[in-house]
Amino acid sequence: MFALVDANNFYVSCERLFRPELNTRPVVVLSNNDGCAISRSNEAKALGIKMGVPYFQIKALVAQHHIAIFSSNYTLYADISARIMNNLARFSPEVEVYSIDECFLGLTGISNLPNYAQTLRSTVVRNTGIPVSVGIAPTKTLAKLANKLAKKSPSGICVIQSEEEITSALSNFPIGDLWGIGRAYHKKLALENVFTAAQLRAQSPAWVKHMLTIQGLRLYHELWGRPCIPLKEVLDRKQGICTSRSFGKLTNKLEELIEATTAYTSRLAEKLRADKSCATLLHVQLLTNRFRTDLPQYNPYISLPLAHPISNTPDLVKAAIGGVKALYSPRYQYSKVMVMATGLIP
Amino acid sequence: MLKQVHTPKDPALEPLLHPEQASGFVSPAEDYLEGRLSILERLVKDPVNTYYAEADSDELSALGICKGTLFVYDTSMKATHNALVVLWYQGEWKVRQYHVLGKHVYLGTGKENEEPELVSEELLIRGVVTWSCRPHQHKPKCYVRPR
Repeated sequence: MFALVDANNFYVSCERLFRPELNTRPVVVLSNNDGCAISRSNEAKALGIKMGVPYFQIKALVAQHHIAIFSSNYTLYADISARIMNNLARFSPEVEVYSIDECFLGLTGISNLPNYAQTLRSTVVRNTGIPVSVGIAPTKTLAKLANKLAKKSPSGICVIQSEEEITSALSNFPIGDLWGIGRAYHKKLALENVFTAAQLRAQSPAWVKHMLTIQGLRLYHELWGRPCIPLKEVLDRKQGICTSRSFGKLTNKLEELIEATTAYTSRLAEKLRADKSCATLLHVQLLTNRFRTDLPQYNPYISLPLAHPISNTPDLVKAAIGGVKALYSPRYQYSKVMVMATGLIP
Repeated sequence: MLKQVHTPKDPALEPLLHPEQASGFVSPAEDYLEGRLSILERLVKDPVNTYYAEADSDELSALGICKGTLFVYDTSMKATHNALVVLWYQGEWKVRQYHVLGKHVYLGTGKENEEPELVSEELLIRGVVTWSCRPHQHKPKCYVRPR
């Protein structure tokens, strides 16, 4: 059996932790440099604030409904996340930290699962003050689905064990909410009149493999309660490391772009060294603000092969600045620079 | 992966962390080095669930707690009768003595001439104070070797 534990509206819950007076008010956390809404309290969701909506589009709503707005504080979120994960790791030796606010646990030999889920949830909630939902099922895909259902239930837990429980959980579950079904597959399946998880499971394995490749076939078996996706307890080597951030304001000055690129590239070099890897390829991209439809858009991109695999700051900065100079055109107002290192070798 | 909650070393305060680096030879005394005495190890039993707070008034002077006292509190512990707890009550973070009498809960400051207050509104308990560290100098000064 697998459990998926997921923190509810994680960033908002972290901000509320030390400010309980906000528990009844709508709260929104914004991305870096206050670009978009990235975490919303249930009250804010009810006001119709969508995930990823740019801040300037909701400014009127914020003033009207007295919404509390926070800039993101990743130092705080990472600390609280570590505290949650360490509390969870005391429950099971098999742990996969899936993201900053989600964690899979492998469960073996536990007889009363609903009881266990309740203890797990109340311990984490008491020790960290962050509300979490717990979904338990025979496979990771079903645990993910159970977690979605747990979010809607007042107890915050959902255990799917028997054949009948699986069947009834799948019956009205929208296909787009399944783990591994993105927007493209969602559209493709809708054209075939497959709208719920139960309808997908009723197809033949060959049809599923034809439509969704081998990944989809794994998903199919997982829906039948046959585990295909194991817990990942050791991290994969990083494929690429990226730093990108928007500026506080728009700019078309080359010096300012170079300044920002230097700062981001130094940070990138630090990350590379912490990971004990060297890059063989450096990518630089300049971006204009895509929400300012009144301004001309320009998002040039360049890949720079490096002569030797490196992780030292001066050489990386030199390469990145060369890239910015090659891409730069004074006719546009830039809002963001992205620097990424790939082809990482130890 | 799992991240340990820890206190980092400050190289500015410990410029001689690795004295052997100057000569290139490792001192034979290194074999006998033990971990340094750490106040954290003594005060913090469970780093994952330990938090800190600072007193900003002399309200709890009867308990020997003055302004600037540092509280070490554990969120995994259950508040029991007479424990010192960190709580959110009437729109404020407070540290109070927690008294349970039958079905009623009272919050006290330890003052002899003051009756503990009966809890009538929603009370949020954040943790139990395990240690408090009281300052005895108002401006602590610390010598840092100039570099």
